Amino acid sequence: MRWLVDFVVDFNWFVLTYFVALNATYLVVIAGAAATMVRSVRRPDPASRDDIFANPLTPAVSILVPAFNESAGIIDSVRGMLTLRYPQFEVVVVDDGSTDDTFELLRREYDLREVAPTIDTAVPLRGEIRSVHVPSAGDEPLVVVRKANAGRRADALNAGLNVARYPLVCMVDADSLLDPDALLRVVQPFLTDPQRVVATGGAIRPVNGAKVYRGQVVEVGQPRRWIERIQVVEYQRAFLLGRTGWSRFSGLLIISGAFGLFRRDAILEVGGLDANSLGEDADLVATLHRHLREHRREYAVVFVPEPACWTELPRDRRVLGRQRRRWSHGLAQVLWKQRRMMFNPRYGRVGLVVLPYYLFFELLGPIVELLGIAAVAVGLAFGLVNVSFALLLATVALAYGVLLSFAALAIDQLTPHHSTEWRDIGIGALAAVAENLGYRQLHAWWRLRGLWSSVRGRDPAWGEMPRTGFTAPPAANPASSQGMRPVRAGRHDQLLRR
Amino acid sequence: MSVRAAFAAALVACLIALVMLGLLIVTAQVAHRRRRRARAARTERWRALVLAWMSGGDSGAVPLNGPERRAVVEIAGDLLSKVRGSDREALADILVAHGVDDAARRGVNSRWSTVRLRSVVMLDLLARAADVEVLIAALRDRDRQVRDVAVRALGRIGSPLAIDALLRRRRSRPLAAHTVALAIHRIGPPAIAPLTSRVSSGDPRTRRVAAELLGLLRAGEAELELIGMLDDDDPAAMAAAATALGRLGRPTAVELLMRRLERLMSGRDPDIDRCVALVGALGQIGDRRALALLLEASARPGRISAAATTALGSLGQGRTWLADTPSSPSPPEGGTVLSAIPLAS
Repeated sequence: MRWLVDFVVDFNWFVLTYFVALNATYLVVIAGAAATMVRSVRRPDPASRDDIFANPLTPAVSILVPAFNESAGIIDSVRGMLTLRYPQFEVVVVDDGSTDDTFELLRREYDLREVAPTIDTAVPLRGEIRSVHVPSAGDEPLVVVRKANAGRRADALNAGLNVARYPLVCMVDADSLLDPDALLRVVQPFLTDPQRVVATGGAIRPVNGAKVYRGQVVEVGQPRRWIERIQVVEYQRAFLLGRTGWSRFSGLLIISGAFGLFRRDAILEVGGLDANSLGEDADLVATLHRHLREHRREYAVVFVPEPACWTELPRDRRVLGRQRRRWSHGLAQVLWKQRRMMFNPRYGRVGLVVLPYYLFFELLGPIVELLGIAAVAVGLAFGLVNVSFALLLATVALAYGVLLSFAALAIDQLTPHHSTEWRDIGIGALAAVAENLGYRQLHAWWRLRGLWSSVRGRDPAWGEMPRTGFTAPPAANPASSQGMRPVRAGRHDQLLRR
Repeated sequence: MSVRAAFAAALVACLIALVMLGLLIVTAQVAHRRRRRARAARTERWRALVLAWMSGGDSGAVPLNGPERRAVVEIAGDLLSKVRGSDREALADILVAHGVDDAARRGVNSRWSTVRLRSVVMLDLLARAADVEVLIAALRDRDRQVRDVAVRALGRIGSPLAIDALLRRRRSRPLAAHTVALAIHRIGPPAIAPLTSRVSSGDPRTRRVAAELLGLLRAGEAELELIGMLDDDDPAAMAAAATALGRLGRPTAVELLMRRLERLMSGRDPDIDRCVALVGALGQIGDRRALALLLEASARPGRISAAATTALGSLGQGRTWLADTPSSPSPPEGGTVLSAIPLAS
C-alpha cells in the first residue's frame, strides 16, 4: 500500500509542475499575441492593400483547391475564390477522384473543355492525372485537374503544385470561404521581406452561426449548439491567439491546410507535400523549418491574424471526436518524422522550444491530464489526497482555463471579425466556462485515442463527415429572404481533411 | 509560503484577472458603440459642410473649435482615400487649411513610431510636392512600416527628385523592393535614365529590379543595356532582362534572344528559369523568325515546353495549353521580380 501512496503523491506533484509549466507557456504566447494585435490595431494602413493590388510587380498566386466529393458546395466555393480581390491569380481545382458529380457540376457551370497540357513533374504523384480542363469561354482563370484518388489530400495538392504556374501557391480547402481581401493581406509579408518569407498563414474562423451571402461572410454570430459555441472559443484561443503568439516568437509550426500561402519553389525544394502524412500542413511547415535550417538559410514563417478563412465546424460529438483523433494522430506522425530536430540546438527555437512544446503539452498532454484526474480520484478514494486541496487545485485549473479563453475573447474584440452583439459576447463567456466542464476532458480522451492509434501504427480511419453547410437558417438569411439561392445546402466530406 | 497558500493566491489572482478581463470586454464594447454613435453624429453634421467646401466654398471662413476641427479632418481624411482628381485636391486643400500638413510634418519627427506612421500616412494621403524632402528623410526611419509608407507617398507625388533616394542601396534600414518598384513605376519616364545606370550595378538584386522596371516602363532607350544583361551571371537578373526585352516588344532583340536560347538548350543541363524567360520574351515579341526554335523548345519536358507552347500561341501556332486559352492570353505580367529572388542563403 505504501508504494501506492508514494506513487499517487509523487504523480500529483508531477501534475502540479506540469500544470504550472503549461500555463506559463500559454501565458507567454497569449501575451505575445496580444502585443501583436494591439500594435496592428494602432497602426492601420489600409492604402497598402490598394497598392498591392495596383502594383504590376505583385507576384501572381495559384490557389490550389483539393476536392473530394464536394458536389454540395464546390460551385459556390470556386465562385467565391474567382471573385477574390487580387491582381493576378488562377484557381486550380484538383478533383481527387470524386465519386459524386463534383466534376460534372464544374463542367456544366464553366463549360469546361479538355486540354492537353505539358505538366511539370516536379513532384511525383501517387494518383495519376487523368485530364485537365479549362473554361471554354476563357473568361475565368480556372483550371480543373482530374486525378486518381490516392487516399491523401497531400497527393491532390502535389498535383496542383505540378500544374500551378505562379510563384506563390495558396492552399485552400474546398469547403472554406475566404475574405475578399484575404490574399492581399496574406501576401504582404512576402512583399515586405521577399528573401526570407517562405510561408504565411491566415486566421481560421468558424463559419457556424455566421450569415453568408454569395460566398462571403456578411455577419458573424454564435452558432446554436453548445458544442459549436465551445469550438468557437477554442478556435479564437488556439488558432488566432496561439498562432499569432508563436509567430511573434518565430516559432510557428502549423499553418492550417485550410488557408496557407507558400513559395512554390520552397515547397519543390523539399519535394512537395508528404503523401504519407495525416497532418500534411504541419508536416510541410516543419519540413521547411528543417530544410532551411539545415541549409543555413535565413527564413521566416509568418502568421497574419487579419485575413480570415471561414470554415465549418463539426456539429456533433461523433464527428468532432473523429476530427480530433485524426489531428492527434497527424501530430504524432509529424513529431516522429521530425524527431531529429527535437532538442537539437542546430534547429534553433523550433528544435529547442516549439517541438518539445508540441510533444509534451500538445501530444502527451492528454495522458497527463487524464492520469492526473485518475490519480486524484484514486487518492480521494483511498484518502491519500486532501479533499480541500484537491478542490482548490481543480478550481485554480478551472479559473485559469477560463482566464485564457477570456483573454482570447478580449483580444478578439480588436479584430474586425468579432460580433458586437451583447448576446453573442455573453454566450462566448459562458462557452469559455463550459469548455472546462466536460468538453476539455472529452477532448483529452479523443486526443489520447488518436495518439494510441498512431502508436499502434494503424492506418487512419476514413469516413464520411456530414455537414449542413454554410447557409444560415432560412429566416435569418438575407439571401434566402430575398429569394436568392443559399450558399450551401449540405455536403459530405472525407474524413481526412483539416 | 506553503503550496496551498501559493495556489490560493493563484486562484485569487486568476479571479481578479477574470473580472478585469470581463470588465475590459464590456468597456471595450461600450466604448466602441459610443465611438460609433459619436462618429455617425459628427459625420451627419459636418459631411455636408465638407462637401460644400469641396465644391468651392472657403474652408477657412468658418472658425472651428477643437472637436469640430477634428471632425472635419476625420471626414476629409476618410474621403481623401476614396476620391481622385480635383475632388482629391479640394479635400487636400481643406486639410491643409486646417493645419493637418503642418501637424503631420511635425509628427514625422516624433519619438513614437505610431505617431510617425500616422503622420506619414497623412502625408501620403495629401500627396503634396512640398512634402518631398520630409518624406525622403523618412526613408531613413528606423520603423519599416514608416519607410514603406514614405516610399509609397513619394511614388504618389511622382517627383523625380525622389528617384535617387529611392534607388540608393542601403545596408541598414532597407526599403521593400516591391514598394520601391511601384513608386518608381508611378514616377514614370524620369526614372528611366537612373534605372538604366543601375543595370550595371554590382548588386544582382538591383540589376534585377532595374531590368524589370525598365520593361514595365517600356523603356526602349534601355534596349542595349538590357541586351547586355542577357550575359548576366545571375540567372534571375538575366531572366528579368529577357522578360523586359519581351515587354519592349522590339524585333531587333529577336536574333540575340534566339541565340541565347539555342546556346542554353544545346547545353547538357539547361537553366530552366533562363530558358523560360527567353521563350516568354520571344513569345511576347511575336516574331515568326522564332517559330522553329519555339517548336523545338515545345518538345522539351516540363516548364520549357509549357512556356514554348504559350509563346507559340502568341505566334498563332500553339497547340492548346492552359495558358493558350483566352483566360490568360499572355504570359504572367506580375511577380517576376519576387519569383526571381532566390531564398536567402
